[in-house]
Amino acid sequence: MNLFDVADYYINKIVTSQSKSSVANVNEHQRIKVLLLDKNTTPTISLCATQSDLLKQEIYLVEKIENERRDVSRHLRCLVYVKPTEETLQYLLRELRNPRYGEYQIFFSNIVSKSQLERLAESDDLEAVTKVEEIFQDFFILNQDLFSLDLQPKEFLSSKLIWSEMGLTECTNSLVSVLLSLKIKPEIRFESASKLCERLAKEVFYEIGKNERTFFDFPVMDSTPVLLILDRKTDPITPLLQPWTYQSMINEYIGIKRNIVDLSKVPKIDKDLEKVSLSSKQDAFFRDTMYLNFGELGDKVKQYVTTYKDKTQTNSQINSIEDIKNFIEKYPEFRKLSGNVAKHMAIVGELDRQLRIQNIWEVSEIEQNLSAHDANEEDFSDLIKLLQNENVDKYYKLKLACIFSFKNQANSDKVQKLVEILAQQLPPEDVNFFHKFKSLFSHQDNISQNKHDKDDILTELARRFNSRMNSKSNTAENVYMQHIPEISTLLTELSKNTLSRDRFKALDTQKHGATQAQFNKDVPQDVILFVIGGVTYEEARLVHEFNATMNNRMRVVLGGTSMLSTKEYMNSIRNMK
Amino acid sequence: MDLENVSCPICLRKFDDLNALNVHLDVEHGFDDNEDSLGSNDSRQVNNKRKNPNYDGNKVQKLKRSHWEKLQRGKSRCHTCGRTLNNDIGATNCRKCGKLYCRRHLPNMIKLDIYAQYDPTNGKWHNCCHDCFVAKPGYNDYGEAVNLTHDFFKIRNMQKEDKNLRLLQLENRFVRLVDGMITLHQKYTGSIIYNLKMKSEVSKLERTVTPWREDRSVLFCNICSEPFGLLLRKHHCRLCGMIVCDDVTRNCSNQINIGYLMSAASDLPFKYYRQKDDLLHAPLSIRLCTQCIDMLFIGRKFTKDVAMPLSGIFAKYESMKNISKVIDGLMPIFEDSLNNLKLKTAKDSENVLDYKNLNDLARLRQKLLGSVNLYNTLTRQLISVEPRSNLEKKLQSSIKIASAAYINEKILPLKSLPAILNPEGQKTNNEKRQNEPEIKKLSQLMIENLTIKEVKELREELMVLKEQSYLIESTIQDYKKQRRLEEVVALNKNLEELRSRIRTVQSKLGDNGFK
Repeated sequence: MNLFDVADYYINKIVTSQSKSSVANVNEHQRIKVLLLDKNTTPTISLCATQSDLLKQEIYLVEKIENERRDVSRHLRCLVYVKPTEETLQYLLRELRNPRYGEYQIFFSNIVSKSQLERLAESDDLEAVTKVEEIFQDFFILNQDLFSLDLQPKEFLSSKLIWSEMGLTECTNSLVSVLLSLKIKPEIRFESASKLCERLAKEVFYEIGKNERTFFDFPVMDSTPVLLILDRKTDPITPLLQPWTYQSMINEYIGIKRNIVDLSKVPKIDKDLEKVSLSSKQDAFFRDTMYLNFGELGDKVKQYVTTYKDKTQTNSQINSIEDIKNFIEKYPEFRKLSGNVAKHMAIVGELDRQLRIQNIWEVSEIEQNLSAHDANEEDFSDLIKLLQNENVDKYYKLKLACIFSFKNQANSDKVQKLVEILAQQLPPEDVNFFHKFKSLFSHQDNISQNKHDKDDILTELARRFNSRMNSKSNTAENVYMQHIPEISTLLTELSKNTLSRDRFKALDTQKHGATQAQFNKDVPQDVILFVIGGVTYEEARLVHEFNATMNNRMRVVLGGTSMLSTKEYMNSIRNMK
Repeated sequence: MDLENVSCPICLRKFDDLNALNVHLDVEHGFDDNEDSLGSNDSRQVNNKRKNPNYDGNKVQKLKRSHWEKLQRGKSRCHTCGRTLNNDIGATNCRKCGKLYCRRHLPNMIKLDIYAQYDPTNGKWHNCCHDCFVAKPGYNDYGEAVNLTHDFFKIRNMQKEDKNLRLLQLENRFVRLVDGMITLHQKYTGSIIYNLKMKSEVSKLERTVTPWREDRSVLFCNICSEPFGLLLRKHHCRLCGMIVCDDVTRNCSNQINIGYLMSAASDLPFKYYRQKDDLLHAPLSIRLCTQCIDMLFIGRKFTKDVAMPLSGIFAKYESMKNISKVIDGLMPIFEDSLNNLKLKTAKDSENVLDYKNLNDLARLRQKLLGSVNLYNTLTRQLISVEPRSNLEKKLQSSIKIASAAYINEKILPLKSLPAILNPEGQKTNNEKRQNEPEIKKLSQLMIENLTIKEVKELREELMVLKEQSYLIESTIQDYKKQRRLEEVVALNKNLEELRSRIRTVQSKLGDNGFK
């Protein structure tokens, strides 16, 4: 269940696609290839393939189908890779009626309907199309076990609890394409308390049933994979906390959008470094460090710089011909290394700057304490102190208040006191927001509270163990990473097969209810977690670590409607109607 | 202790009672397996008795065990980590393949039937090794793809016949109209009543070719759907008879000269095809709607364009491609023999080098270098071609990058041959003096009395010279056409000089020149 493998497989399928005529006749001239994408597939390709990958396959031109002013060159062979949306189809039909290129091979990134195919065939009077194929990659692959649909809540929700028609189809189709790309026919489980989850689960279930014969005829597995659909609302704390690992910090403080980090706002940044790409697929250093916390990261970067310096040292001593030859052979690699070092130095430097100017260290410590401890006087007084601190940004004050109110709903005195302080410190809109947040998440807490009571002794033991480790090694990380996202508990329960069947109802696509009882006994070995409302990179790290410890006994892929930073999550709550 | 709710100390799974836990421990964590695989009959029977109540009496068949690897104390090793198996690290057979593993390296569960075969529906859970786990069908599978080409072609063909009929009809009308108009034109040319007669006759002809739509019945343009009025006049398409407007911006219909039309559809059986060039200036034109124009001519233009021979950068690219095919073909041969050579010399440095092989290798290298050079030259030529469009400009820059990467990749192994030869040469030099002349000969063979550097310089010079002479030759041709003969004389002198220089360089280079 490595998503990068999926991406490589599909891209390879597209770019190495053979021309029909050249198969028949080897001497037929090789045509230069042009890759034609639409606005949906452009990021899919750019996330997973580099320009040199494409050049190697003789793709010397990449164009967008939306661009109607493309030059005509009928000596080119065109590889089309588009999402089968109505808009794109219109462009495609127009393209085929008066083809700009000599030959077309069309790949769709999701299921194509019969009528769409008919319309396509109808407009291909000139028989320029030599291939039509469906592949399934209607989602964005960020890490090897993380995908996102890049859908913002305002795009898929019509009100705070109801799907918009468009959003639901979009989300369902994308999720179905995830299942198809991994060749999985899962048991669908969903958070039964959430209407959003239920609707999506049923929709996916229906889609699978509809396409059972044509697509989902995979061999039966001994352990049925699970698609677990969650609602962000059940764990609002996680996306509110300041993150401390590399990838998630970049997302929080600088912003990483489809593997592109925009450093242009960083003061005194080098021109080459204004926009850098950062992919765990291509950048080995990033692959090693993306899940490390800030402390560990510092050491790694230091090491990286040292090795780089060593290398420059050896390079500077060029005395013999042998040295020259070594240098020339290593030169491209060397240049790549120096570029990479500069890139990571710039990013880490910026992170450090942001942490300092925004007082993140203090803020994070308090919010971690708030979320991890139950009603603690000391934490509360710390909170009050911070709220009155002039140096702290209003945004963080509001966020802290929200976290506190979520954790301490019963304690109305304190919340009341908090509201009074907030009224002094923050503008009225923010106080309004606080009340909105409170009402949005008020009734829910009871559920999770109950669940926590039931939580076995083991987690408690682990927690105590961790805290003792803290005092021993006394590393800063643990203070800042006390909070454990809820999916961690869910994954552990799944692996022990103790996930509540009441809280997470099941729709089994394999055996339509008949042998449910027998089925329940099996521990799932493959799991896809999907969170409506978005996931955080911090959770992605957790899933990655979980996969590493499970060592193939259970494999998890995490996905969400979008990737969240604290600000994006606060905004999404603010925009809820 | 709460007997109703016990959990396994290893995997933390919960069980209803102690018996179930016991079975679980035996079966899944292999706590009684050491004895089993040692073949101790007594204990096995005891075990069976202990197990049986938990299964359905004696009827339940046990998993096949005959294929299990026997545990030999002190000898058997875990198939993953290679440690000697003992009681501390455990010793368990993978239930599927039967190999022995330590406890840590038997992490996975698989459903097996009683013959230890994978049975996803009716099997029971058993421990298995990672290899068996990964090998189960459907595991780690990915990349569903559906090829719709066949369906697509089927739908396309279904509609094709209909479309072809319509096209045929249009073409027929078109030919009749054109032929008829030319006949009339020739008949009345020179006559005084040309204008008068022509108009009525042509209009008569037009109506025989296709029935015109009634003017009054149509209120909107057939293509752009704009309402007709004083400013937007009605026109008939002479091929389909539909009523369309002639708005310039929307381009719904056009009046087009017959000569142009004929040359654009040269495959149609026109009666007067040969006169088409003269007709370009004749006052004969037909009004056609865009739909008919598209139907008649887009396809013709498309097939014509596709069939056109490659030109400009495309032609250059094709020759580049051919060269790269040669290089790709030769490269593995070269690398193989190079590796062989390396192996041989590594094996016995005493042995005299196989000079014949070495020569072959050197020659091969020569050839490859030449090809790479040619590739490089072609790339440069391709880049210098004046791009005809933005698209070609983009193509050029991409090809430039790709070609640089390609050359870099291919040139690396070529560099390593002298590196092997030289130290070897020195070594044999010191050790066996009698080989000295041979070695010298070898180096002569390779570079013909010239150092590699010199060869390179000369080659570069030669290339520049050749390019220059080529340029001059082409300008001379141009000038000759333009009758600028004085300049041609001067240029010819230049050319002579260049050629003589080329000759000297070539003679210096000898076999090292380009072939």
